[in-house]
Amino acid sequence: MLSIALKILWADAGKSAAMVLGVAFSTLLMAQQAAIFVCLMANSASHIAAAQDVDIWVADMRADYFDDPGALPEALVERVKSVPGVAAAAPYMRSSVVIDSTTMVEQGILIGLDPYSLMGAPQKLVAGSFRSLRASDAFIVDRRGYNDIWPGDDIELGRRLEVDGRLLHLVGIADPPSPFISMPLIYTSTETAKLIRPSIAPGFILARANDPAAAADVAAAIAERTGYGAFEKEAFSEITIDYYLTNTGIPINFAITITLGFIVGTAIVAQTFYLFVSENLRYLAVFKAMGAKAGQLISMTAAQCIVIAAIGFSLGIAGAAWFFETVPDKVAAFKGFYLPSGVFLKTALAVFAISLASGLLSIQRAVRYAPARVLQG
Amino acid sequence: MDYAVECRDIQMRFREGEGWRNVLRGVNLQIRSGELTIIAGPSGCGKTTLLSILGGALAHTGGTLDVFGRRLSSMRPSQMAGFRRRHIGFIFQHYHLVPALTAVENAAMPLIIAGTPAAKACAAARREFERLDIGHIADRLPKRLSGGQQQRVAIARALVHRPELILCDEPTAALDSRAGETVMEILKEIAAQESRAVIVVTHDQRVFSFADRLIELEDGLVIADHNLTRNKGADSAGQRAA
Repeated sequence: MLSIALKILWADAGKSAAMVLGVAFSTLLMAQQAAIFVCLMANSASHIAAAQDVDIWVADMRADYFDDPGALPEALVERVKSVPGVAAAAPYMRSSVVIDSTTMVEQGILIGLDPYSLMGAPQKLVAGSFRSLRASDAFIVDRRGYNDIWPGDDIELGRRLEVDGRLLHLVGIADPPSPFISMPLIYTSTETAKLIRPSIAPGFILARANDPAAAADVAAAIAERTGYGAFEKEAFSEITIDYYLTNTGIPINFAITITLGFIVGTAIVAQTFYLFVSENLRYLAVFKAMGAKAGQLISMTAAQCIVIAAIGFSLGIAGAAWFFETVPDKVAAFKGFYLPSGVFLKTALAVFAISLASGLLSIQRAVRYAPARVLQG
Repeated sequence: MDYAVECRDIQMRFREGEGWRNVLRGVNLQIRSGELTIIAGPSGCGKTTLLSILGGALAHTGGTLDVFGRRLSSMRPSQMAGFRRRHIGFIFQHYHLVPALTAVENAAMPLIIAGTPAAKACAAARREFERLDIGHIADRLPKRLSGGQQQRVAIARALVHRPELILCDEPTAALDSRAGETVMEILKEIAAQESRAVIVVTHDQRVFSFADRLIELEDGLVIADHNLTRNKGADSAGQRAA
């Protein structure tokens, strides 16, 4: 029966193609948009997870998330260090600045790190060394920022860049994960950061626990002793992601697009399948007259739906995979974006649900169709 | 005597607007195996409705119906479907061959529906094609067949699962006289040689001569029952409506 169902399906090439393309389009839209959303949200906290040697982030209680640091007193570093269980602590400064490379002027993000502990520095370097930040007016830029500032140029250390009117020299290229805000990242020592921006203060105090497994307890002790917020890095990541989820229009916009993909896919597949079943109603009724059970008709339709869904999903997910294989290498805004397995699975579920629901709704007519009607012309 | 089909006071009514329309108003019939029975009558007299009821494709609203000793009146729809699958072959006026399937696949459908593997079912259908002398069209799609060939494929489909009762709805209506005669000859041969009950519903008077028995229906009642084999056209026990 199933091979007969598929022969009937493929005989109507136009409708089969329309259904496959409907499912493929729906899959592409849902998977691509959902993956971008997931990656974007993950990027909002990517620097927290990737910061070197950091177990605990100490922040102003009024700071909502990573990209909105408060201004903490420098003396807080010593107070944090004095909390039992803390192995090391260092300031982490962060401020927006204007950068001028003579060919272009744009905004960047200045990050001031302790050049000796290097706590909070990204883990990967493409060129140079973080220790070079100990030199006065030295800076390290992220690889994407380098391409923004000097587009098309090969990597060349020693280049000069004006940051908020102060001339810095390049000592390294870092490769941090993509941030949520895509601006060049200028890493300097805390001393150089203060020379560029005299009013800059630590946005966070970074702490390393003697025992990383006990970081939650140490964070609680820091909060109790200092009166500031102290969060394990996982908890701080969640706070940051939650902020973007609840305080921006990003989830709603993506939800609208993903829902549209679902609705468009459902509409195309349901309508086409309904027409397909309507046109085959006469033959399905003949099968009923011959004694076919409702279950046989339903399984025939389910087989047709599953095949349409499988082909459409494969095409759509291949399109989405191609996007994430090629575009992130060429478009900086998508750097590090990928197709998460959760998105793959949930899209597959949605697509198979669309196809099966469309088919089963359509087949209801055939199941209810009286076999005697086929005798009445 | 055991009859293939035995109807007692079969009634059928349909809702029409706010009232009811009585299509069959008490039909009594006994049909034997080995006979080709034609049920004739003007359009709207209820002959297709009667055929549907005899085939277990429509539940009647009154009376009792026994087919090969089984009471269809008391069967549930799923039991009726099983009964149709095993005991009844249908031949339709417009053939109703599935355009996507080859002739032999169409003919194999009753066996496939009954759970026979497709290859085995197609082999059985091919044997039926050879018997009906249409082996050469087995692998053609319906759109490549003439009306007469399509109807012969439909006959093969009605026979492939060896049903005891074959029900034909206007099997010659869409055919020219020569093709129609061929189809009727085949049906008569099936009834006579294989001892099956063949019931043909038609208003095509050209084919009445093939019948062993001619039943006339009018306004939902049997108005005449002619045994053409025994009496060469003379009326036998006609049943008149009161």
